[in-house]
Amino acid sequence: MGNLTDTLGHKLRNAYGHLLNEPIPDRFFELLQKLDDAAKRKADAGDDRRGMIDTKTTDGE
Amino acid sequence: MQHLPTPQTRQALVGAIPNLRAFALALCGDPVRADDLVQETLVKAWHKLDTFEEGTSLKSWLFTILRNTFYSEYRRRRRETSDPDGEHAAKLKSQPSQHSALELNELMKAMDLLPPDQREALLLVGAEGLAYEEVAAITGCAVGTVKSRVNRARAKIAKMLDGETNDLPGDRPRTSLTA
Repeated sequence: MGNLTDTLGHKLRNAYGHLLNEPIPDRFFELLQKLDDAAKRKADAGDDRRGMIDTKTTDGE
Repeated sequence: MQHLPTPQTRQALVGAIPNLRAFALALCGDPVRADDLVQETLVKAWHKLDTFEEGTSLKSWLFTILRNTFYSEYRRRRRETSDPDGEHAAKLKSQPSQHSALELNELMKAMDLLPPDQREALLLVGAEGLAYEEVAAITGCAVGTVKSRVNRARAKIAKMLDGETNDLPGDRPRTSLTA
């Protein structure tokens, strides 16, 4: 039983290793790039809004 | 407010993709669906990065999101198909073995015969090399339960290896994730 369990573990890791070695499809890199771009745009828009508020505050003083 | 991930975190996300794809494939059995699951996981993780605790395992965190996503959809589909016992869902789960493009490894075929909770526990501990404690956190159950699931899974597959069933594992790789 112990040997069989060892064999199982070995076979399982082999099969899993095979899956891990497959190249990552481009769709995932494209996805991360899109998320990155969207987050940057959102951050930039936030900066712009803050800038407008700051200006108003300054004008009001 | 959402934070932009650091280059290190971004790199870690990319590095985890192969593991996520393998885990997703083990859960749902369908390479196309597996990649969709990984995509959903990455999007959710990206938007929740500020809730990730630095110093903990990003991979385990991602596995948890992927698993929750899978089971949420699994439950939703079960309700939609009026399949309270999960029989229809189980058939869907076994469909990948019918994909002509796939070369299924006999070992993974044997794993497909395991209940989902045992299959994921065996995969995460036996193949992914996670500690029982990590798997317990991912699956939301006690460490003892994880150990028990792994032991039962090993025993069942060992019996198959020992020739007690006709599902004898072989050495061929299970499948390509690239359908």
